[in-house]
Amino acid sequence: MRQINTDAKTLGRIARILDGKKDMIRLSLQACAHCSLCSDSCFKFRQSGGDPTYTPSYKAINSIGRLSRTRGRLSDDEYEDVRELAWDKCVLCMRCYCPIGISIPSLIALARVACREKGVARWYTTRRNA
Amino acid sequence: MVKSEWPCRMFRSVIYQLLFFPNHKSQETTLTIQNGWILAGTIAFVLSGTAAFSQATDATSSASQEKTARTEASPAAQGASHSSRVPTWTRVHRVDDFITGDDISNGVVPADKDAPIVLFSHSAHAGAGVSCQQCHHTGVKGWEAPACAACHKGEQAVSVMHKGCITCHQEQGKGPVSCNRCHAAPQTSFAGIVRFQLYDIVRGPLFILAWILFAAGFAWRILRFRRLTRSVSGANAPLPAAAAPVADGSEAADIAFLTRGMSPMGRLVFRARRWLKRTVFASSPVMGVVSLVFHLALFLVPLLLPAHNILFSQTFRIGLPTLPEPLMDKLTLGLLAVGAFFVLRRIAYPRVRALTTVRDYLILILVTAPFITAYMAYHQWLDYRTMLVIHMIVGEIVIAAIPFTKLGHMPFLIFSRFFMSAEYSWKPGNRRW
Repeated sequence: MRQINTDAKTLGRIARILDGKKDMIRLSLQACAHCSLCSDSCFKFRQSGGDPTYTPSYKAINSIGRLSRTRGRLSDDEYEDVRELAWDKCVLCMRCYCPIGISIPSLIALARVACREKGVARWYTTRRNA
Repeated sequence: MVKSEWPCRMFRSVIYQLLFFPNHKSQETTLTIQNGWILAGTIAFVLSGTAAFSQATDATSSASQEKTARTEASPAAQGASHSSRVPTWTRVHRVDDFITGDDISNGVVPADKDAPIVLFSHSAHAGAGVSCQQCHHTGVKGWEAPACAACHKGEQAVSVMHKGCITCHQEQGKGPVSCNRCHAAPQTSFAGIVRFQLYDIVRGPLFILAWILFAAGFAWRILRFRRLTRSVSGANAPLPAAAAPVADGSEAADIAFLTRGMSPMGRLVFRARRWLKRTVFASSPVMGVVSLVFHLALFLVPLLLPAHNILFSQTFRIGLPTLPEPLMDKLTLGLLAVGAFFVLRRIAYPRVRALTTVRDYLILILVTAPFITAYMAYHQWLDYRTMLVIHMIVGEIVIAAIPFTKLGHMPFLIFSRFFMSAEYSWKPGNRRW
C-alpha cells in the first residue's frame, strides 16, 4: 500500500487538472504502440548513450500515465520519480518525433502542471533544491 | 558479449518480461474494453487452435477407420482409393457462392437459398470406383478451367449439379435420385456444427457485425477527436516558421532559395530528403522500412485477396482488384517474419523492453493470428474447414477490435497526421488539442 502524503485539497486540484485532459491523455497513451521510435529524436536519449528511461514515450507513460491512472494519489517517492522524468530527463524542447503523431511534449508538460500543484518541481534556488 | 551467451540472455529477458514487468509495477490490470477485446481474441485463438487440433486428429482417425472398414467390406475398392486421406462428408459448395455483383446485374438468377444443403461423401464415391474427373471439371483440362463463376452460376449450376448426380445415379442404378435423399438431415455432431452451421454464421451475420462494430468504433473515435480538439484560424502560420531557415519566407520560398542552381533531379532529391527528415525514415531507416512493409501487407493482403473479394462482393456488393494467391502466400510469410522480428525487437532492445507490457505481445498475436490461420488453411494443415472457420472468427475479432484497442492508432494516425496543426503533420490541418 502506498503512503499518500498529499492533503485532500491538493489532491482535488490535481484531479481537476487531470480530469480536464483525461480523454486526451487516455487517447494518446492508448494509441502509443510502444515502438520506441521516438527515442532517436530525443537528444537527451542520444546523449545518455541509450538509457531507456530517456525514451520520450517512457517519460510520458511513467509521468502523466501514472498520475492520471491514480488521479494524483502517488507516494512522495513516486512523485520524485515523476519529477525526475518530467524535469531532469526532459527539457520540453518539443522535438520528439512520434510516427503515430502523439503530442508527447503536451503530455509531459501536463505532468509538470499537475506536479507543481503539490510543490513538486525543479527549483532553481538553493533553498528548495538539493 | 560472449557468443554462446545471447540465447541465455534472451531467454532470461523473456521470462523476466513475462513475470515481472519491471517498468510497469504501477499499471493496474483491470478489465477495460481494451483488455476485454484482447482477452477475447486470444482465448478464441487458443481455444479454436485446440479444437482444430483435436478435430484434425478425429478426422484422421475416422478417415483411417473408414478406410479399414471399406477395405474389409470390398477388397476391390482398394484400387480406387488412391489417397490415404480420402475426404469425408463435405457440403457441395453452395452455388450462390460463385455469384458476384456483376453477375446479378447481368441477369443471373440466384438459386433457392432455403433449400437444405447437400452433403456429399467423397469416400463413398471413391470406394465405388468413381474417379475425380468423372464429376469434377468434366470437359475442361486441369488449370485451363475458366473462372469459377463462368460455369457455377445460380440456377444454371443447380441444373448441372442435378443432372450430373441424378443421371449418373440412374445409370448406375445406385445412389439417391429423389429430392430429400440428398437435401437431407441437418448436421448434429460437433464437427458438423463447426464445419457447416458455424461457417454460415461466421461468414454471414458475424462478418457484417464485425464491420458494423469497426465502422461505429471508428466514427466514435473521430467524434471524440473532434470534441477534444478545437479549430484555430491561421494556426499554420507560426509553426513552419520555427523550422524555417529563412525567417520571412514561406516553405516554398525556402526550398527555392536553398535549391538555387540545382538540376530538376537534384531539387526532387532535396525535397524528398527534406520531407523524409520529418518522418521516421530519417531517424530509424531500418525500422521505418520494415514497419512500412508490415503495415502495407497488413492492409493489402486481406483487401486484395481473391477469396476475400468474393466475400466482399457477396456481402456488400463491392469488389476490389485482386492479386494472385501465390503472391499473397509469400506476402503472408513475409508479414509473419516481420511479426517475429517485432517480438525479438521487444526482447532484444532495452529501450523497447522498457516500454513493453504483456498487452503488446498479445496484440501482436491477435494481429498475426488471422494470417497464421490463413496460411494453415491455405496449405491444408490440420482440417481445412475448421481452420477456415477459426481464421474467419479471429479475423472478425481483429476487425471489430481495431478502434477499441492499441490498434486504435489507425484512426488516431489519420487524425493526428492530416487534421492537426503540428510540426510533423503530413498535411497540417487547423486543429489543436
